[in-house]
Formats: sequence, C-alpha cells, structure tokens
Amino acid sequence: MKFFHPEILYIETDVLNHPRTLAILERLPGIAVQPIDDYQNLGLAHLTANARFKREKKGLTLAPKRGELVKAVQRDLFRNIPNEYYIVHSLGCPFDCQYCFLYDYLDHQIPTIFVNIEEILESTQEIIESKPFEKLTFHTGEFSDALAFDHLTDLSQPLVELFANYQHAFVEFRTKSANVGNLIGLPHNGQSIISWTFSPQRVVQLFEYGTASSDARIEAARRCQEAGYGIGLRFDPLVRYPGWENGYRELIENMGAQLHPDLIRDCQLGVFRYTPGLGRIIRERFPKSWLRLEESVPSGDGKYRYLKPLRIDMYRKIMGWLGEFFPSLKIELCMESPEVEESLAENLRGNHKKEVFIS
Amino acid sequence: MQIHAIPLKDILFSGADFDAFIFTFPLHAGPLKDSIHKVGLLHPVCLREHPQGWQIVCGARRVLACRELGWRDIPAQTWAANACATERALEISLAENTLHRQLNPMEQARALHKFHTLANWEISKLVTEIAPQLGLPQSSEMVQDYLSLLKLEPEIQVAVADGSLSPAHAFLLAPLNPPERTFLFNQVVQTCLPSLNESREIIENLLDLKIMLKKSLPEILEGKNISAILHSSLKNPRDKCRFLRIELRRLRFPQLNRLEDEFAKILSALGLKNNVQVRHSPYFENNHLDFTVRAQHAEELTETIQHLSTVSANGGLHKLFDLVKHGV
Repeated sequence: MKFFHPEILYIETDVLNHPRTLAILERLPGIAVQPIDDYQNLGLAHLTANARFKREKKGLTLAPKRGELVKAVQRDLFRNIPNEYYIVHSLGCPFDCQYCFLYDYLDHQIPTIFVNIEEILESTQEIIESKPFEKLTFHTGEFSDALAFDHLTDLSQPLVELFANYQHAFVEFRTKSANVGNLIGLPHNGQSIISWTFSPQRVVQLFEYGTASSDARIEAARRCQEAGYGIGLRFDPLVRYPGWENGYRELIENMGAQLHPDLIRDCQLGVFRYTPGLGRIIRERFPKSWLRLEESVPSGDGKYRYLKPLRIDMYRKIMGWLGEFFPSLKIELCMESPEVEESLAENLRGNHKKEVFIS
Repeated sequence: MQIHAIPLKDILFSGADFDAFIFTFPLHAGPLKDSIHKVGLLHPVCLREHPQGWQIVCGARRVLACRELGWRDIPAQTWAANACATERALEISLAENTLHRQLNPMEQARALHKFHTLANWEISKLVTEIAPQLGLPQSSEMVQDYLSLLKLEPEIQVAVADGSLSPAHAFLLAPLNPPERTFLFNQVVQTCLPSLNESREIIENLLDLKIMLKKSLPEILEGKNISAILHSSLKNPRDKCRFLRIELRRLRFPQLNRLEDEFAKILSALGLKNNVQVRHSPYFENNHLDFTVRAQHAEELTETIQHLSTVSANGGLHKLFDLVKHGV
C-alpha cells in the first residue's frame, strides 16, 4: 500500500499559517496549494460521479473543525448510544471502497483534515473528565479512515498519549491501512484499540481500492499486538461474491495463524448494506461490479441487505470459522435486525449485542 | 437591416456544417409548404456568408419549403461571416426559435450541443444561460442527460422528437450500447409501453442479469419465457409489461423467488378456507405472519377460527413459520 500523497492541497484561508498546516506542508514538498474560503463548497458537481470522485480523491483539504468536535454516537435519529463518541479529526477518505457510505453522505469526496487538533483533544479530554465513573469509548474511524493520514498528521500520538492517562476511557482507531508506524512504541497503557476491517484479498482487489492488502492488514495487526495493543476484528462489510466461503475461511485461517487470541478485544460482523442513494452511486460508478448482484432487499431501516436466509447463513459460517481459531472471541452483530439476532441467538450466546436497528 | 433576394441554389443544404445553426429536428417542411404556397413567405430567413455559399442561421424549414415549391430565390437578411460570429449566430437562432415555438427535446439537445461544441461553452454556462431559455431545469445532470440524447439511434431520436418516447425514458436507454439499446427499444419499450419506473426496473434487472448470467441483453430477452411473453398474443401492452417484470424479477432474485414459491406451496397444502389470507412480511424480513379473516356473521368467524385452530394444533403452520424465520 502506498501512503496517500495528494496532488493538490486546498487550504482554508483561516488556517494558512496554522502550525499543523505548516507541518503537513513540510511533508508534501512541491505540492500545488490553493487557498479556499470554505471546505464544504469544493465539489465538482458538473462532472459525472465517476469522473468527479476520481478527481476529488486526488485532492486534500486542510480546514478548522467548527461546531461539535466530538459527537455522541447515535443509535438512530433520536437516540444516542450512551458513552460512545466519534472524534471528528477528518472527513472523507483517500481510499476508494465501492461500498463506502460516505459517497452518499458527504457533499464532496475531497478528504479534509481538521488542523485544530489541540481543540479536538481538549474537547475529548473535557468529556473524559466529566464522566469519571463511566466506561467511555471514542471512535476515530467513522467519517474517515483513522490512520490513513497519520503519516501527515501524527494524530495517533497525542490521542494514544491522552487516553493512556485515563483508565475508564478507550480510543478505537479503525482502519484499512497498514499505517501503524507511529503507534509502535507509544505508551498506550492498554487504552487504545486498533481495529481493522478484515476482508479476503479478493474483496480488497475487487472493492477496496487503494487500501492495504489483506496480508498487510494482518501483519500490521500482529505488529500492534506485539507492541501490546488490544486489537479489534471488524468483518464489516461482509461481502458475498462467487467463492466467498473459501475466501473468508482462508482469511480467518491466516489470522488464526498470526494473531494472538488473548490480545483481541472484540469482533464485529455486519453484512454489506446500502441506502438506495448509495445503490444508485454504485450502479453508476461500477456498472459491472458484482457488489450489488447478490440478492439484496429493503430491510426495516430502509437499507438494502442480503435476503435474510443468506445473511444468517453467512453469519453462521463466519462465526463457526472464527470459533475454530478464536474460541473465546466476543462477537457482536453490527446494524442487524432483531430477527437475525434471534436466529443466531445460539451462536451469539454470552456475547454482548449492540447497534440493533429498529424496524 | 437589409433584405436581399438570395438564390436558393446558393444556400447550403448539405455538407459538413450546413446545419451548424439549425436546431430543427426532424428537418422537413411539413405544413409550412402549403402555408407559403397559399399566403407567401411572411418573414425573411437569416443567412451567414460561407466560403461555399450561404449558411442558414434561421429559417431552415422555410428554405426547404421554398425549394420544394420550386422557388428560385428567397428574401433573406444576410451577414458577412466576420459580422456574425458563430456564438452570435447560435444566439440569434436560439432566440428566433424559442420565440415562436416550444422546441422538442431533440431540438433542445441539439441547441445545447451546438453551444457546447461550436461556441465551446462549458456545461456550467449551458446550465445558467441556455437551459432557462429552453425551459429546462438548471442542473448540470439534466444538461448532460439532454446531451446524451444525441447518441441515440435515429429511430429513437425521432420517437423522442415526436413525443412517443419521453426524454426521461430515453435518458435510461442512453447508457446502453447501440445494439442493446435498439433491441430494447423495439422489443420492450415499443411492445410493452412501460412507465418510467417500470422501464428503470426492467433495464436495471436486465443489466444485472447480463453480468450474472454472462449473456448479452438480446440473448436474455430471447430466452424461452421472456420471448413467449414479448411475442404473445396479449393485446394489452400493460399485461405484457407486467408479465415481463415478473419474469425478470424471478431471474434476478432466484432465492427470493424460491421462498415465494415455497410459501405458496405450503400455504396451498394447508387447505385454509377462502376467507383466510396469510401474508409474510415484505421480503421475509420479519419472523411473523399476518392472518386476515373475512367474515360476514359471527358463526362464520367462529367456524373459520376453529378451523384455523385445528390446522395450527395439528402442526400445519409450523412449516410456514419455519420458512419465514429460517428460509427453509
């Protein structure tokens, strides 16, 4: 995997001379720079989706984060999941996964790094200190890949060091990269969890452009375990494609051979799902892709998922293979219906369930 | 403004750029010929000087009608080439055309295309300057959609121009390759008259099946069942459309189809009374069944519920509940 190196840098005029901006500029010598007024008004709307996204992914924006710097995780439109938060350090992602919900979520796909990191850290610290008796979890990979920009920002360092001071707060870095160089050797005190979306190499090749290979992710996870980090396994999205059973079985075998079960914090499974809007984008951008071709139907929350028996079958098989290599693994389903949870009750027994959508 | 009598033989009506400023489509004199024959030509045409003669800026149908009527020359307002730049000529043509009539969708597409290619206007400028004059929404997607009409085959363009095919239908056909598009237009659109949403569903299912079955679109449509529908003696195109959609869905969603068939089979074997309806949730997403009982008096209701209870007590409904829960 090559580290992300943009062709053009858009910088909001307010942060042209911000120390973080200057530090990033030093790491991108010779890059074209274009001052802008507002990072939200940068889209190339007149182009077709494919041309537009391709071009937008070659840029990078530096801007200050305004408004909420740390957001409560929402279970649905009206309810938060208690004590879980997103740290909004960037928006958009340099990778180009066919199934990414951000294509249907963001106004444009030019990745944006927020340079007012100190304020973001302060805001995080305030929340941690305001709830000293509750277990808190902060996620960093919801609106972007948590580590894809780390070679430019070094953001992981202050975050890991901040959380190392608090026994009741954890930070999760979720990534598809192998960009873990900054993490090794940091005093994390067990409060940082590094999570990977693990996919068979065929899925990486077909649907996850620009990301680290399957082997590289496992190797990065192994290095992090060696450095004492707890890691998270995320099989989300699980993608059905011709030969998926062999692909996932092989992937889990490889993981079993290289990862230490005791340093795996948890595991989440979730099938590929998409909103109607994202479905249109995938169809337009990748008309020949297999991604949408398995039988997906509208579920209770309006998103399309594989037909219920297909996903139950998929979960059951994956859980079985995981059980062979990681017998005491805590497995959760992500964004699944109560009916599917019920059908898998035997397999999930003893596991904590969360993020069940309301149908 | 000076009006001159210009010999019709000197006015370009063939060659590479004779129609540079002509938006009219299809180009024929139509009823104008009779009108000119009866009352004469009321308005002069507009011509621009060209190395090979005169290029029509406005009045293509008038020129054609006069030619067909055997006139030798025609009154025209003329410009030297350097007195009327390409962009200006396009603007005059557009103003003259939109003043007198509503352009059909193909003519709107041609107008956008000519400003785009001859005057080098960006899409964004077409959106703000030309789309409003044509009465089109000011959106770059819409402009792109209209430009895509020009790659359609002549027979489809004529259908769009005469209103027998809506532009929105044509936008759906535009991304297909030419042989597939022509086949679909002739075999499905003309035969089944699908609505816009139905067309979208049919095309999307066909494109998916093309990849899933590794067959071309005509090969799929010539398959046994679909071909039987398309060439059936059904007189109502809506019936053909309905059966075609059902068959395509069966092919596209075989597992869902298997569940539906299995559900119907089990239900039928239960021998429930006609006044009882049993429904599963959409796409079998939920684990429950809805039972609807229709009764006209208390005795009928009691009798129906008793029968249903007996069927249930004998384990008859287990298979149905297992199917919606586990898919088997």
